[in-house]
Amino acid sequence: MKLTTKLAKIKLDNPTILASGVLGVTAAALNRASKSGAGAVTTKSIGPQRREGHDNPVVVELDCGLLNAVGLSCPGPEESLRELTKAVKSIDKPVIASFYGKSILEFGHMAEFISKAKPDFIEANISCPNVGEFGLPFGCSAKTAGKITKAVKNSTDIPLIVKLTPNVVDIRAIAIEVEKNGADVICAINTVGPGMKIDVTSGYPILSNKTGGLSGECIKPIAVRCVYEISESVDIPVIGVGGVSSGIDAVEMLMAGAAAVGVGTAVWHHGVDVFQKITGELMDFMSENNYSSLDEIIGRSHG
Amino acid sequence: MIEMVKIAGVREENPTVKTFTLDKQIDARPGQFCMLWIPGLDEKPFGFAKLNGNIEIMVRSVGSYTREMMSLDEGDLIGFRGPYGDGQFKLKGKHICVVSGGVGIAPLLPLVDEALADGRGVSVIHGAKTKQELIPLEKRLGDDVSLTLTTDDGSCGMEGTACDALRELLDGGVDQICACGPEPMMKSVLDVALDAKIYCQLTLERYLKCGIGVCGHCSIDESALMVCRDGPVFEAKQLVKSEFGRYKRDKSGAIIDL
Repeated sequence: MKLTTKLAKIKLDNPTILASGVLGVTAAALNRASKSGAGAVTTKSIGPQRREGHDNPVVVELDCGLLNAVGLSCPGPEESLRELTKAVKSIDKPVIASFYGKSILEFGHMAEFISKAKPDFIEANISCPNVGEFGLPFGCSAKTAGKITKAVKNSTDIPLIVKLTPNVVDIRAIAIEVEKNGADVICAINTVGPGMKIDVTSGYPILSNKTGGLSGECIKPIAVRCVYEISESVDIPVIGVGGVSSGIDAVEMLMAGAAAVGVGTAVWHHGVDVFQKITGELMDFMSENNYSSLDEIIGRSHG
Repeated sequence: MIEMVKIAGVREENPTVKTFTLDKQIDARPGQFCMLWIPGLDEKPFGFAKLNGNIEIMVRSVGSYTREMMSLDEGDLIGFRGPYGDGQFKLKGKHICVVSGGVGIAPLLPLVDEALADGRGVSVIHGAKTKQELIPLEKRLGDDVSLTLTTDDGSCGMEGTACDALRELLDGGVDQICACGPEPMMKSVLDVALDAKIYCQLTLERYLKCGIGVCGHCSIDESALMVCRDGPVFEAKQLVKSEFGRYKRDKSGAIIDL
């Protein structure tokens, strides 16, 4: 039975990927996720300036998932680059360097900058919903998403993943524009919403940022639909992210057309061992249903 | 999920430290912690200073959040979530030595309660810079605990650090050490414990964001153990060759030397 999969010519031992924004502040934490069974690991998004992020509370635990607004905290580009370089050197699985900029030009500069660490992929985060001062996510406009993709591709030779937001009318149009401008892989989805949780005793929204992105179990149907629509519209591979916490969830995402699955919020209930759990359950499903490779599962729902 | 909890009582321990009794009872282990939210201001982690009956939280005034907390009174509400932390104190030895610096005594108090209830010997070393910064412990600990006080300036008890007192106590049959306090002090305790080959647990303080093992901000090098999830109590062997005693990360994630 083969669990290997491919993203832009780069092979993954298994289809689980540590999603951006979860654990990935330090090289050591990325290494732990890798040793715990992730097929690839993604850093927390690296930005052009030092940022403390939002005050606490930055997370609300819900019955069906998490609401978070960490606010793109970042120790600054130089320190992030040191940590990224350490991660690339010490981890024997693909390392994905997530990054963001505040303008199209800055996305290009940041791509060039983090490429110095020689990660296996860079991932343009054009979809964080939690930083008001940055305005509407760039990923809300197909035209802007395309321009950012082009600016990044002109700045580096490292394979590019573009991470999309689900909070748009037509994610297909954005995926097509991103592919047209040279993206190698699409990652979908970032958090949903934003949403809000109010404490009714005090009357205050709990998050200091008031609103935050929704993740976990409750967004899986949205993620599956987005991945389905994207893979129907483009030829480049898709990383499906959103509510995956079991092997069956992973199968669903693969059948929708994902070539790999991102795992984030599931670390909350299952710990770092969630990657092994998912791959184990995925193998059980494959043997029970006579699948011998992921190729037989990927995109199956498209008929 | 955060719930608003009523403050059932406030006790002044010394000029900068107060203990808050919350109208809340929980099933938690010594060493676990909670996140306390002051709506509109911030949310910070605190250990439990008492777990039998209503929980107690000991707070020292150090910044804007804790200053605001000092102004809270009986009947006021505060947001509570927890308990958190898989790394907890456990009773291993027959004679446990508790080493504390200032409010670091707080999360060790439920451990002392548990050890006494289980018939184990307990010595408490409590140190601070000056007499004024010590926490009054005689009544809380009772007669079954041997208490040693230390101050850096000698204004009360033995002149020196809590770790100096620990070295002197080691010949007395101590077979477990539990420590909480400023990190340089705990680093000295760790070194003494390793040298004497005595089982030792320490609590670690880092900037916590999510508190539930997701954001990774409190991950320590190189093990990547997370203070909020795998800690906040660690065994000495987990901290050897780590960032412990050397550096930590600030709110942005940048490394700052201790």
